[in-house]
Amino acid sequence: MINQHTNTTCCGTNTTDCCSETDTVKRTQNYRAPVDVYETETEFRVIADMPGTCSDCIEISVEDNMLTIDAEVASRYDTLGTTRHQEYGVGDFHRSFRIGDGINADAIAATYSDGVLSVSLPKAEVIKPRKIDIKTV
Amino acid sequence: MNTRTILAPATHAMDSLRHEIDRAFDRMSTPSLASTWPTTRILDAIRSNPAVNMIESDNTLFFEAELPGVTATDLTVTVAENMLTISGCRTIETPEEATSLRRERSTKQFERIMRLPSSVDVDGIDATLTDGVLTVTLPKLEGTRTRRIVVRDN
Repeated sequence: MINQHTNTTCCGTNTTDCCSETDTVKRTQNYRAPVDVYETETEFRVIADMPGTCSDCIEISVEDNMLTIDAEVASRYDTLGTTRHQEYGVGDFHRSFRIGDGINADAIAATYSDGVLSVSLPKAEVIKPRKIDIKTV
Repeated sequence: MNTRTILAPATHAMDSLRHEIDRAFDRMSTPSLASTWPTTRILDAIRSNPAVNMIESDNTLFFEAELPGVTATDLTVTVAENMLTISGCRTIETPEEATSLRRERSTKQFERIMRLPSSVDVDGIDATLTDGVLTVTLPKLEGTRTRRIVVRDN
């Protein structure tokens, strides 16, 4: 029901196939974490700012060439008092990316510290650069 | 000093605008890992101003800022003349011999100065940094605490 609502608001129509999968948000409060992406010879590395979550609250999945990162953020203000001034919202983080066939999905690893998530996506053998030795005849 | 009060400064507004534009583009198509935006971090040279939320209870003020990638040693929190200053820098981790495909995370240096809405007990101030979230707890001075006045029904 919530997914349908999201599709309607972002496209202005009732068609469900016009939105990319990134917009099928689970909750109403969903924030887009800023990311840096680096490529080395052996891997891609996605580094995301996701303050206020925990390693057990983060879900990383790869399906149909899509990398999806979801992080649950617990509400922090309910017990403290009244919010007098608000410049940012607190809620779950979500990002997803198209990643081609060149990722070894089984070897994806991630760390979370100081509110920063670092995801290592090792390249599959097929896309690693290969040096061709030229034989002297 | 007085102009840099609780209102969000221009650089912060620019960050928010860029964020909104990025978000709009993301809604149209699923992005790949590589960004189509220029990868230069144009704000690297100047200080950014982190966003701040303020929560008030009867006896305490809480200021909160999201500072991912910042450790306690890189952070300075000071209170002087009713002004709270949060400043520091963060390490942007870059893998060795890597090509940057997308750069969205903000600058290294940051500073934010805010006027406190009421007098606080300077000795009782506490600051914690958990998972990239800074919380500064400032106990209100006795005279400025909220008091509930019972209205008598005559």
